[in-house]
Amino acid sequence: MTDDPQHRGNQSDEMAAYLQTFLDETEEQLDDLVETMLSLERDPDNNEDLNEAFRLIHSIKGSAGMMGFDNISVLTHHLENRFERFRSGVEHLNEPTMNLVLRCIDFLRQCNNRLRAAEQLGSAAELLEELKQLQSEAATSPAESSPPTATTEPVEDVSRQESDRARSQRPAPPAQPEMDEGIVHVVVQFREGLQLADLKAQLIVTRLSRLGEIKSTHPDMQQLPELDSIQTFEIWIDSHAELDSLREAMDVEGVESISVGNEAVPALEAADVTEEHEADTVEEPVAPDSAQPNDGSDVTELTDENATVVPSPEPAIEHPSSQLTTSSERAPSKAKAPSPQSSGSDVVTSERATSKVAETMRVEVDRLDNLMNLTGELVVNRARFVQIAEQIRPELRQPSMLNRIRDFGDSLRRTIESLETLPNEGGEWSAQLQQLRDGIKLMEDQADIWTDGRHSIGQIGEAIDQLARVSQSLQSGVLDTRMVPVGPLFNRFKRVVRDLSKQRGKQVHLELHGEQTELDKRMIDELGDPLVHLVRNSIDHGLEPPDVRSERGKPAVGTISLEASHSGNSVNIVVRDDGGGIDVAKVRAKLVENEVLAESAADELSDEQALDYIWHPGFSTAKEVTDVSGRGVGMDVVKTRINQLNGTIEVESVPQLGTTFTLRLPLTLAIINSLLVRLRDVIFSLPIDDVREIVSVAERDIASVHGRNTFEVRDQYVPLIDIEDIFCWHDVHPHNDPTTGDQSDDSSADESQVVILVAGGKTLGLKVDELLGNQDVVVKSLADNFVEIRGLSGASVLGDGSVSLMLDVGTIIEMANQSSRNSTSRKKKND
Amino acid sequence: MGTKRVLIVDDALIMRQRIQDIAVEAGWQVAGHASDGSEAVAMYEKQRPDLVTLDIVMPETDGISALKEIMQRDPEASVVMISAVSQKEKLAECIEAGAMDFVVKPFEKDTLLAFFEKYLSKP
Repeated sequence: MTDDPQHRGNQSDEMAAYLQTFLDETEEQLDDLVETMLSLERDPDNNEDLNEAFRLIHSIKGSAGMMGFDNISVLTHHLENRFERFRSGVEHLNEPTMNLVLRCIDFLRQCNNRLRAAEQLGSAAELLEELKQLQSEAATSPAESSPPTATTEPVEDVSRQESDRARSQRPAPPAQPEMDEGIVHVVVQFREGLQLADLKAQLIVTRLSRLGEIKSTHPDMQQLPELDSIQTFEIWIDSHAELDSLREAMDVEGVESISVGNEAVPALEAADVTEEHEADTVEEPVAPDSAQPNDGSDVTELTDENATVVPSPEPAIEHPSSQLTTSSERAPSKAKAPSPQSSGSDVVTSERATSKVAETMRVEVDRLDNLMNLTGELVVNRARFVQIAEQIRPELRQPSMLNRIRDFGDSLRRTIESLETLPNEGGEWSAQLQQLRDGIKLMEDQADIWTDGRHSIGQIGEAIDQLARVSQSLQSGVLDTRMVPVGPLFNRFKRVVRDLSKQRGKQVHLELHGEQTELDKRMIDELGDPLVHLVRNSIDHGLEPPDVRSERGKPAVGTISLEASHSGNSVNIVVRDDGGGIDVAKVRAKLVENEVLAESAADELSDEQALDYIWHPGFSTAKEVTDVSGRGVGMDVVKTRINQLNGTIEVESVPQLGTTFTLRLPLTLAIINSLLVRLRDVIFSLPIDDVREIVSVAERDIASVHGRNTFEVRDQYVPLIDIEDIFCWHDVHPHNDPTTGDQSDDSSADESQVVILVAGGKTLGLKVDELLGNQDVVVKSLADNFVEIRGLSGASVLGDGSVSLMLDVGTIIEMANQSSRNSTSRKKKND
Repeated sequence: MGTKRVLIVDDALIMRQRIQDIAVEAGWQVAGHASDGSEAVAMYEKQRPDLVTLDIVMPETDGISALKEIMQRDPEASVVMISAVSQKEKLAECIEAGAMDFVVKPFEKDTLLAFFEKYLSKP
């Protein structure tokens, strides 16, 4: 078994701190593992992939073992054994095993989810049973968890070499080796239950053999590989090395005590016990180290703990019976004691101490969200400050008031001087004149203060500019920390596509492009479900069965590609298939069947209009609930989700050639560069990425086509709407008559400002009453605070504290089309 | 006697964290982390730490190759293997190649703590 239970338990509290890391890391490893497995499915003997799968499983096993998650470590232990056999070529990865491994991965994922939710882990018994069954089917020797043959062989080889060497070094088996001159008998006690104690013995032999010749061991080196556990290990070594060096060489992890000759000295781990032994050794006839600094100093210099064992070499000199080295041998080892390595490294330690510990660190997304929210607040404040600074600036540009006051003061002084030349009987005016002078002084002082203040205000303006710059950098910096590549999200689809294509009996090749494109982490999290739905849709309805494809002259293997790319401040994600395209006739039939439209109305739709209905809530061709996404949702849900992310989605379908869904998403959910406009009394923000251009349209240029206001821009006819066509206000609009709108405002009797919006490949002109410029706005959800309103994607607080509503441009365009379609059907006779 | 510095090599972040926490508790300074063998060798060359904890199963260059490379560049290097029981034969190879000790995964905290404390006081 991987780990015996006593190795855990009391650590669990401490381990809680590592849970997040464990979950994050294993999730990544499981993703990688799925990918590796899928690649192995194509090429089951690919050694690199087998090694990688082995490594990933091994790593998960190790982490789970450390965390004390038995279910996980036991399962991964068995998986690891399987893969050890696969990669050593003893067995081959077949399809049942493949499927079982994938199910194990699902189980491990489930474990992670439960750990996240602080739930009890499920039982892996069934999977383990199946693993064992497959194992016994494949292997003739069904030894449950014994290391595969490939692993044991090298051990034997190594140890055989080892023992060969040991044998060649020793002239004859030492019947009583301790009698020989210069031969030291050492006994090592291992900790009880020490794992791989035999290997520890081997380690000790290896380390000791650098100090002398190993004459013999007990148990014998040859027997070692067969011994699972040994607690006492004896060695006879012919060495002239210092006893301490020998002890040092034997003092490896897991050694409880070391005795050299007849004297037993516990390992250094138990320092306090060692001290008692020191007391014993002091009783020896030879004076302790203080009396013989020359001999003892080499070791005393080391550490206090080591010093406790120091006196032991001394009796060795006096008592040859304790099989020790001669004092002449000590000179070289003394020189060696302060090792060049340690003295060298001491010098550089201080300068290296500053070197950084780790290049990356993991941060909870919640913390980043918090940072993002704070940055949002800062952005709002910045806007506010910038607004104030702009208001102050014209005031400051006025010519200095001080000069005028000075001039005025000077002229007043002159007047006073001329007054003083007048006869002043008994100085009766003197007091008043002095009062006047004081008044002038006071006035000038006040002007000075005002000038200082004015100067300060000017400085505030500069400070605000600086603040704006810094907060701008902070904003982009914070955004940057939230950006993650879409690669891992895309990679998940390899599995989705594999499972679905098997279920549907279709062959599908998945292509991924632009995995390095980065998006906000939250956005990536939200995108999973809609993308699964689109991909599932492509496999279910897009790609034809292989025979149909062959008939149509297409390769039997269908291709689905996921592509991500940047375009300005947004990211495009494309889901493309080379299937049969969306059958518009079927869409029409479906619409009638689902009673979305009457048959006549459905027939009237252009192909393009019909295609648009796939987003309609009443339209869902997916009748069955598939187990891949676990939800039988329609495309309308996909669209709603994308719109909620301030994104848009459009579909393009070519019969026989395939379907393409294009999603356009802002880089982040939180801060959106927007065009602020006033529509009636309300300030709206329009994501700048959805704004194509702003034009002035004269009343006479507006034409009615199919009962719909339209105008022409550069040879393109763009439908024109008024905000009243979309929203109805309840009682907040006393002063505006919802007439046709074009003349509603005083400013331009004849010309209207029109913002041309683009979303999902469609354009729409929105008449606005005033353009207020563009600004970064921090979008807050309306649904969190009020109710969700179709056509609005959120609200934000502007610099002056007022609120602007963000238009969901994709939905607005859709709503405009619907309202015009309704009016078209109403006014059919009109045209 | 300045603080000693350890280079921690393991492909699993959680292991590196755990080892680091224990090493720090024992009074060590962390010279750096590496997550595969070639990174480890490069880090060793740059940092020349007093101790390396080395995992065996890692992507690209594994622990054995890294150990051999490190020992070749610095025969005095102190490298302790921290690896699973299942890697027994690899561990034996590491001992041959000059690893000074090994600790079996999953380790108990006290085991590793005692190990670090002991080696901190050694010359």
